[in-house]
Amino acid sequence: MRTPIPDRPDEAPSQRRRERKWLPVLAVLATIAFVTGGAASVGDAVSRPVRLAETVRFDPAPGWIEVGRRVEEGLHELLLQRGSAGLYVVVLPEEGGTAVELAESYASFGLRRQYARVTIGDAEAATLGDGVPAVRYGYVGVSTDGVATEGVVVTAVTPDGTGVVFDGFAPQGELAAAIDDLGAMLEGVDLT
Amino acid sequence: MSDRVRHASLHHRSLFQFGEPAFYVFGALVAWGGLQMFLVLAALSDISRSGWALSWLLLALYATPVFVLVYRLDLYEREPLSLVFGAFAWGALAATSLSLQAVGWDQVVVSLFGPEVAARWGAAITAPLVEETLKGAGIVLLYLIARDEFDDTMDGFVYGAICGLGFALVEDVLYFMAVFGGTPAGVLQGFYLRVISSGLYGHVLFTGLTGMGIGYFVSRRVARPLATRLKVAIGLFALGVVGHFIWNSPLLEFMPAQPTGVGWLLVPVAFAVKGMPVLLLVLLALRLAHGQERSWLDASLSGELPHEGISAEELAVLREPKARRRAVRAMRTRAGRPAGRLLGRLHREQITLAMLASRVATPDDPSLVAQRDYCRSLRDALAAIPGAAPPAFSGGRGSGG
Repeated sequence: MRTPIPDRPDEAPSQRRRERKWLPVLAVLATIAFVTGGAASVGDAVSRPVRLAETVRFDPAPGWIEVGRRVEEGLHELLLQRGSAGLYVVVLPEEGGTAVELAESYASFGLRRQYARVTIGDAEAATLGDGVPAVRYGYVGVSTDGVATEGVVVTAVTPDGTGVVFDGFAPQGELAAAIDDLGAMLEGVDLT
Repeated sequence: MSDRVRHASLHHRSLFQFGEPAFYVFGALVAWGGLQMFLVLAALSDISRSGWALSWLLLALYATPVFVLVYRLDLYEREPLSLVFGAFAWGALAATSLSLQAVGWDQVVVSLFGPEVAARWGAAITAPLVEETLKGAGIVLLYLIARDEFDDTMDGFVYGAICGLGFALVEDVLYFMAVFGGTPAGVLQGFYLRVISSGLYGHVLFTGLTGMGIGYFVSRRVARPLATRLKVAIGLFALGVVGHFIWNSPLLEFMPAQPTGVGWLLVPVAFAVKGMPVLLLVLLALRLAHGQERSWLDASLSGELPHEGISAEELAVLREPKARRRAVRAMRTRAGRPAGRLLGRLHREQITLAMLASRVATPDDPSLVAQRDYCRSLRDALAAIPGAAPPAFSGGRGSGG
């Protein structure tokens, strides 16, 4: 004959402890808000604009950090990164020519040398933050080990003939997550 | 907003406490994080479907035994699975998504220390503080949802470690796809580096320490003053952050820059140099916590021996998990599966008896008396099963009918 399993006893009525419900929850929410949202505010408050070759000046978007810069053979180069996305900026003093010519030159001597295969999109007119006319095109480049990168290039030439190239890139599939930041940085560019 | 009187229930609480505001906050952030991660991971799957599927398969092979190991670390009272899975979900979905929002701190480091220092040390400075705080916030919310389930330091470790496991899982998928290229070959390379070579260390340990701090703080309210509990909690959180800092930093960096050939075999060694100190520290802390649990059990039940809830022989079995498992197996062999399950139930209720004994003011508290009677009734039910005459039960105690 099976013996029935006894029922559990009632909840212990003598065990009572007053506990705050809302205050600790609000404290946790405030902590989360500070760690996430506070970063942008503090970052904005202490951030320094990026300058390159006395020509380019812009404020990096939150989370974008400068990881390298160099001057080589007259070219001033700068690289910013946020996660796996990057923004490569190069200033070519005394470049002359037009933004279209600079765009073609970068495609030929920059992208086609960097990647084993590269597909260049159609160029279209664009404008940088301070009204300087520019040219923009997209691309997808594949390296020799098969890693695909997608990017957007914006080129411009200042009135004194200085060429500027902005190349925003990310692993294929991830550029969309960075495009707003890249757009915001380019809209705020100040070319002198 | 007024305080609410709450019964300190000894029934296992699930994650779904609809009367707790913390539950809605927790659920909302996990749901939001789940949506964010779904979008990110879906975009990454476009890189390589086979690589994406391989990532999840390999990580499941890693995460499953780790999950089981951590879950079973609690010697006496396994945590409710809904809460454990809740901790996992927080780490995997909410903490990861919230961390992705907190990218402005990198800019703070650049502004304060310059780009060269930020490039080298940024990940070590910002990520530990941001990630451990966000993961810890989830553990605190779990406590606020089900306070009774945080009985001791070990409980905190279990929730913290599982939260860290969830975070590591999703982070690894992001790395496999975004940093290692997402192809099956890249995924395998990433799996070797981030899991095989270094899977013993990392988020599971760091957040386990944070969880231990939270568990200690909330479970020692009677025994320890606030100042002591704060010091221990902050200290354990700081240890987790420091361990994470060293892990992300250039310190103790013996990793080959571009491993080739035999260099690949050095990778686990390089990671061990960085991660072993934290692992040893956590093992020591767990040993201390286990000792603390055992001492608590002895102290709580020593006063119960004259009563009918538990005998000295039963306590000797109860305090050793291996002895409990042996006793249940022997009962199952001797008297069948129902008897084995009933003995396991008796063990769990005797743990509950210990909890009650440690909380009530007097030995004749009605709740304690009721629990003793319940244990006795379970023992009687067990004794009534043919063949269930276990050596763990002293003759004549509590036999009814």
